[in-house]
Amino acid sequence: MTRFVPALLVAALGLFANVARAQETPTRAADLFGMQYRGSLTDREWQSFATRFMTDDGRIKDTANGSMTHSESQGYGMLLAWMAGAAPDFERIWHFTRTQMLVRDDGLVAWSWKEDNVPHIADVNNATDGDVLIAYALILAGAEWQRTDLYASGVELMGAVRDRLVISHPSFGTVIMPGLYGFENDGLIVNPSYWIDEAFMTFAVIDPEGPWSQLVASGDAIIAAANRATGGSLPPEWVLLPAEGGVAPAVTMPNAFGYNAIRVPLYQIRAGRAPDQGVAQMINRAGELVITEPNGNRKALSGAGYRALARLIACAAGLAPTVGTNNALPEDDYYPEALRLLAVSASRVTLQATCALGRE
Amino acid sequence: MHQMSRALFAACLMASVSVAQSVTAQDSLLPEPLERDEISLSTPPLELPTLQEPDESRAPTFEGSLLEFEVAEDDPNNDWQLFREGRMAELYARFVSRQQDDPGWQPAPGLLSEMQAADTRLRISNAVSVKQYQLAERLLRENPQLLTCEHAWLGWPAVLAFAGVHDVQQATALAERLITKCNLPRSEVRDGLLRVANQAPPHVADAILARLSPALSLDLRRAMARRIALTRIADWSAQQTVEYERREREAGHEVNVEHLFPEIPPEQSVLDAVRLIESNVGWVGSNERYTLAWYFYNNGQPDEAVRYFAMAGPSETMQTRRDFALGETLSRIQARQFVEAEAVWPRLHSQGGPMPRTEASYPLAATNLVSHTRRRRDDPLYAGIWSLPADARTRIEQLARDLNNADLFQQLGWLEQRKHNCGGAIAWFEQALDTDPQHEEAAWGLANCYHAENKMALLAALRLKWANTSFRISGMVPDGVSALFTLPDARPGSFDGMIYLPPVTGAALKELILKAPPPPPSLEDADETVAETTSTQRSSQRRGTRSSNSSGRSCQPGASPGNMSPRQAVAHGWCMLELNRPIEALAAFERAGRSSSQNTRAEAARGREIALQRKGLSGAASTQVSQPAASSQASSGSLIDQAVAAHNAGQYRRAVDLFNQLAQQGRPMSLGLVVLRGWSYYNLGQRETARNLWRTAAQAGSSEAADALSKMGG
Repeated sequence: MTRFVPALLVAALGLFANVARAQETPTRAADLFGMQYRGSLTDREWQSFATRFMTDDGRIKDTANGSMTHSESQGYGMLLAWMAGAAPDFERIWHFTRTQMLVRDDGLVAWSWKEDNVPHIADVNNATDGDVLIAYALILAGAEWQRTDLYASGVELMGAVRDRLVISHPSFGTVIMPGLYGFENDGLIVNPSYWIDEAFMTFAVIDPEGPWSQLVASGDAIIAAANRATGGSLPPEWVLLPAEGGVAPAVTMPNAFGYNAIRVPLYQIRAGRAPDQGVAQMINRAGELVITEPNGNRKALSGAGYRALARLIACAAGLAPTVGTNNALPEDDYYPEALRLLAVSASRVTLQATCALGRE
Repeated sequence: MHQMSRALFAACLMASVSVAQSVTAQDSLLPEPLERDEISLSTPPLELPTLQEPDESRAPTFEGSLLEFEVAEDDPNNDWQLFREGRMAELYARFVSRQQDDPGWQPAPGLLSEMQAADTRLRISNAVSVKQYQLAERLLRENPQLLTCEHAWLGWPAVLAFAGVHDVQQATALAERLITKCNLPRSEVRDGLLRVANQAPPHVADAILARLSPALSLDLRRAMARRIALTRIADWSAQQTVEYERREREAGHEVNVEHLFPEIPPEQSVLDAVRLIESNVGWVGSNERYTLAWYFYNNGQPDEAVRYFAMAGPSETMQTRRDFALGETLSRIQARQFVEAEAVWPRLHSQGGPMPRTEASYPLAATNLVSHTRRRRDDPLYAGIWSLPADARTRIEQLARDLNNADLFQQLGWLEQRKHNCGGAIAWFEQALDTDPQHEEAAWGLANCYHAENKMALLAALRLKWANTSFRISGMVPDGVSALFTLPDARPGSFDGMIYLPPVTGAALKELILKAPPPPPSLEDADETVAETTSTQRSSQRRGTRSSNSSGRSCQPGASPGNMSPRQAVAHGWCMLELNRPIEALAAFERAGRSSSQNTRAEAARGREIALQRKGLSGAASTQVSQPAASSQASSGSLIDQAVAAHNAGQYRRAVDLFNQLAQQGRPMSLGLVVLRGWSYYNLGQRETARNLWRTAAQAGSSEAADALSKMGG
């Protein structure tokens, strides 16, 4: 493989005091797995998202949760902005993220920010999916736009994730913790929707000696084990991995196939793989995504964002096509709209021949 | 070309850092230039915004023009204006956008470096606000030029950053420079020093105070000293809580109040701090009194605690008065002033405060009062508190009805019985049994009153009903005086378990007040010579040495547990286990697990666990139920025993620890045990954890978990 390193990139690396080891071997931008999503959203699609959910100072509001901001929303915002080529808005979101939330001693991102709180950081703990998304977006943007500052920041955050959150499990091998604290209770608690394979596959190119490929494999194994353990019904999104093997619902977390879990097939599709076999359970006859609530009740998600995701999943899994609008509805909140755009971009990139979602 | 322009922009970003360093390094208050005598204040007019700087204690002077004219979008003045307004994200976005349109475009000279400096200052401040001192300290060391007198608002966060990493020398030197070189307003110095006294480790704050004393006014020195003292006292209280929890874990059970205080004798510095605050308490505010009060509470000096908690006057806010009322309630319970403890919330309510029943500590006070009122009036420990004031009684009766609380109902029943008013007592006992049909204590009281009232038919029916589940009820002799009829004769000490008051700090308070009061103790259990054992002991008897109690029982395989009462089902389950028929035992215990009695549920859970183990054993499995075949099973079986016993004894923390150990062994728990684990958490006030456990069990088919969820409201 030909390695292409932008001259400026190399020159700039030396300016950073804490350059992760992976940075010493940057590779050609086009080799990064996630780079295939470059330009996979239109400016109009991005503006529709940004207008509703992004503040002038670059904060992505979770409108369903009191307009709080979290590392995940910042990460999605940066990724979507990059996919649409919206560099100015990417800059805004990154500015807010680094000055307001990238304030932990260990280089991870504080996960929760609330406007009315003093201080604004409502919880200084990290959330690993947010860390991964932000690192991923920074690396892609830095590589494409030849912005060494972005790239280096992404690699540094990736290194913090690798060094602090990726651990070895006796049964499943390399796994990733959902957060640095609070998830070791009667075993290790993991969340399969935190396995963002497209990011791990991108990290693996930059950091070939890192744990990223093993992580992809362990995620598949955990999802498969969870499906087996539930005998065909929807598995819980928080899974306990006892040291001696097997999986179990994490009793200290909500026992549900919930809003987190619907991202699992999305990420599988975006990573270029067929969704897990259990996805047929996720979609009802009306073509809606179905989640389970902690009390066991099933609930259909009928918003446009969830509809789009359902269509993507059904198509990718070879299920009967579902119907529904592809366009955002004004009432959609941040989360379903972010998922809708991720689904739309996936339909254009990994499933372009069969599953067109993004007609404007 | 386009790509190159982005690269140039990036290079500009990089280079601007070093530019900023070279321009402003001479102004820094930090490391290298620290000993410089002169501080230039000639930094460009770039005072930063306030909106994103939560730690700023001084409003910056607005340095822009007070006139506003429309400015062209690409006018560099516009950019500087945005910078002064703190709209950094918009500026960065503009730069990128302009470079997209014009690859050769460059920001105004110096602007980018100033933006980056502002960003770093903001990040330092934000990091300190969430106690991420290492990051803040690293950024300060890497960018000493950022901290100048022009940006003195960052000085106090910087002091805290150095204090947080225990760099006393740097923290004190920086504080001194801020005060001596930056000509700060007096109010700003005061606020900064008090903030340091609040948040820095006391020994660092002490060092700063010592170094700065010559430069400070007497008032300011005193104010800072008092604030440091308060921090020191509060820190001690926090350590007390941590130490208490550690000891409790080691002891494996909840620690009674008499054995709790003091866990850590306060060091001399803490005693000095207390003395300092006390010497000024006449004029200090509620914060000082509040801190002192919790100190005394945690140090086992409840009378002193009450003295300070009682100081919240009408001029305080209602929230403050509520905080004080909570402390006063707990302190009076600790001081065994039960009548007064019960009266605290009603008093506040009469002054416009909340309804007592909405406050978590009120049921605790009420339960303690009504249960201790059962004591003999000649009990020297409780002399004078045996009677229940009429107004308190009215309130407690209302509380019992509001909460539909079987324990309170039965306590009120005993109260009436002690007054030889069995007519009234019967009504309360019956109400308790309506609420909880398995409430054996209430049934025992009812039996006593039936006998006293000579209602022999009712007594006989009651004896029959409890034939298999209560030895003392079924063993009553209707026509003669039995030891069983002796009225409760409490010994001092038998109520020790009632008062469970962990040390309290502000942080621990919330959890404490959520803690449900422990179940009322059984006087009879403590004093009876007739062997009424705990349910766990009963379980052991039935598991291990086959007792004569079971010899007369039907132990027929094939019987349908669905037609049995919960207690009959438990008994049947043990029989089936003895016959090594774990599947039938399992069915019986499942039936018993739907009992509304906590004890029955616990016993059923335990039996079910053993049945499940037995199901998994080989044909050579031991027929002796109490001795599982494998050592790990023996270990987990033992843990199960201990966990269930701890739960039954009301030692919920110990029960949770044991359940956790069991889980850590990786052994699957029966649904019944999961439910029981949930009850343990529930009784510790950790209701969300309990709810999650029950949800899991309910989803797996446990009806008792579903019941528990239903009672909990989902």
